[in-house]
Amino acid sequence: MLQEPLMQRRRLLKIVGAFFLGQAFDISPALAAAAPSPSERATFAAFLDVLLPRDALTGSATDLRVDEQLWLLADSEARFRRLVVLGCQWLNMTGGPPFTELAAGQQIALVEWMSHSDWNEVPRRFYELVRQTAVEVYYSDPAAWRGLSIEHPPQPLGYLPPWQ
Amino acid sequence: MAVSQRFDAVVVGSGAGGAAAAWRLCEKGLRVLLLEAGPSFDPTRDYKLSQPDWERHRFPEPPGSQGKISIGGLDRLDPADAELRSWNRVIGPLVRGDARQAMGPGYWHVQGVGGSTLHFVGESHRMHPDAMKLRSRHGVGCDWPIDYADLEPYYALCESLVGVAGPHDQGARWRSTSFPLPAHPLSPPAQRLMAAGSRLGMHWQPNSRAALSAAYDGRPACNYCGNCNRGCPLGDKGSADVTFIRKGLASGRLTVKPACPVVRIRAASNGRIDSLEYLEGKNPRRIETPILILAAGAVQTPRLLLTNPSRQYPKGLANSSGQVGRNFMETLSWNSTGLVPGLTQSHVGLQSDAICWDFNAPAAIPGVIGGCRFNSSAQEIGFTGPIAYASRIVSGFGKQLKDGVRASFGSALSVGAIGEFVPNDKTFVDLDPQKKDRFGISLPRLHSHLSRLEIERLRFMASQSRRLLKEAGAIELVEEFGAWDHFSATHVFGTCRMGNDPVSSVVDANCRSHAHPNLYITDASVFPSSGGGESPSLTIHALATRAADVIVSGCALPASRRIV
Repeated sequence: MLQEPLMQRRRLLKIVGAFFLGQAFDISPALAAAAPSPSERATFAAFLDVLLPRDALTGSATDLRVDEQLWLLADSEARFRRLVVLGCQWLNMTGGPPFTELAAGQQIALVEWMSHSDWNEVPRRFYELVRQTAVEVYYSDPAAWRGLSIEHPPQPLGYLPPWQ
Repeated sequence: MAVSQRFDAVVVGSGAGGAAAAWRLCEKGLRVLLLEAGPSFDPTRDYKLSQPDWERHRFPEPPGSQGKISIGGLDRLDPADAELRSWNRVIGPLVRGDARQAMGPGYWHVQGVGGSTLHFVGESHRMHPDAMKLRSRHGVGCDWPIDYADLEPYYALCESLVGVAGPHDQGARWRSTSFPLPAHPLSPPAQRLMAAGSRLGMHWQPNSRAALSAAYDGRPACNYCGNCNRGCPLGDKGSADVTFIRKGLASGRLTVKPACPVVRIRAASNGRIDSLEYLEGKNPRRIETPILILAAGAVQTPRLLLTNPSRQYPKGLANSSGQVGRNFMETLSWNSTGLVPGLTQSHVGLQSDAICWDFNAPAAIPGVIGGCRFNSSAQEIGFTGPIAYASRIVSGFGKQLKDGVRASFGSALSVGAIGEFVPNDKTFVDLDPQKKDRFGISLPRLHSHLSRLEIERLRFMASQSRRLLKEAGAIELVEEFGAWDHFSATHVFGTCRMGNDPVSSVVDANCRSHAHPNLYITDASVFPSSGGGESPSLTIHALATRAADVIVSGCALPASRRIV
């Protein structure tokens, strides 16, 4: 029996914990415990919709309420909450307008840069962990399965032969 | 302290070995208490395969369902072997750094009624006869004190009880009977590997599986959902709870007590184990042990022995040889995945439904003693839903990500391999000197070292897997992982080795302790060798039922309970 690589989010959360331990920068405990502001919510939602945009077949991350699920996770997981605070701050501190006011192409270019940035810095960790968590939540919704060769969970119907 | 009612035998651990031994003793008329440290599972409630978010749930881990362990020394990684590094297309390297790391807990198991059979894939393999004679025939490792012929009737017995489905052609593993059920139909990815293997001159065949290809003994047939290791809600998978334990309970002679960890085992001055103590809730209980069978697995069984020293047995029970915890053998595994254009349904069908035994015999790999097997593994390693594709195969974000998941879903083809692990002095289980569990008992500490032999075997497993994928039409590899940089053991063996010599082994050929005449061990800790990739559950069942027959034949029971 082979064991698949761990679901990456759990592993990434451990990495985030180690990341904060090894870094001089962090946020105040008070800020990490505060409810997200409307601005922070909007920034995070816009970032999620860049990761998982709406197209002809399926809705965007926020269409499928991925943002709401991730805020619930942030409520229960302090390390994730801290990373979201830092990530949203970073998205709005690039020297130009806030992330939500960037043109779509600019948002994509910025996220593209994050995805290739230094593994040991906030933008990359934020991108990796939020991406991983978002795809888990997004593809847990059958509304995201249009265009895939699955129509239902594995049980109770199974996948009886004949197969292609 | 309350003394519980008397049983003829007490079994500790309800997995493959404990459940099988308990069933056989009950069938022969003995009253048996089966103690399990972990909880009971309710497949309908606990297994999530009917939920839309099923893919986010591995096998459930309620409180008490994992035995705590600690990890001791792991190897530094030699850059010369970097071709064996674990990686995938989304994350890149899965191990960052220059040392081997434990993946998750490092030792994957289930503590609960049914044990690790609850999350196993359910391969049902007999040992290769030659793999039981590694020392005498190949100069490495250790021989078993018994032969394939000694186990064969018990293999057949347990296959019949479980309802194993498989093809008659089993090569060196000769059979006295046919499998009780015909082989399963091959899934789309298995068909691809079968065809590719044939073109390369390899013989692939349907795997023998503890999953029902037709309704059997009151259990339904498999419906091929592809997620056996997340917990089978149908009951067609032959886990111990729906086979041996169900049968044992039906006898009226089996009592199962979940969530009852053993905290103390007492030996009398004559060497017999006279009683043990366990917790039922917060209440300590003591029970007499006319016969004691330990079957807690190759990590927890040695821990139970080592944590019960006495003046008479200062090194722990059954450990005058000092071999308890030594000879630990872990899972030497490899997996390669590629995308195959035109393959669209690799997520359906039975896990590990096709296997290749060509390199399983000890001398079958050129230049390396100790064999391996290859199997179809896309479903087993989790490529059964879109989250796995978005997390491990399709990199990037936005349109690229969503289109990539749609384009690739169902086309992942995976080759898995498991190989022999030859014992070495640096791979063992001992007690952690600092870390203790909630009862103040030392945790087992796992040490692992891959010798050059293991690394060369891994190299072969990796190269052959890549060759197969290329022949099957994979346009590129998207993920590989293995034991070189990941310590990730599912099959573990050897820590209470069986043998004829009390100086070099812990139990005899009948799984009976050399030191304690009423103590038996019936889990994979008695294996002298791991085999060349055979999954161990069927051999554990066979050893356990054979040991039970030895017990009821009278050599260990009081005269009043002997069955002639």
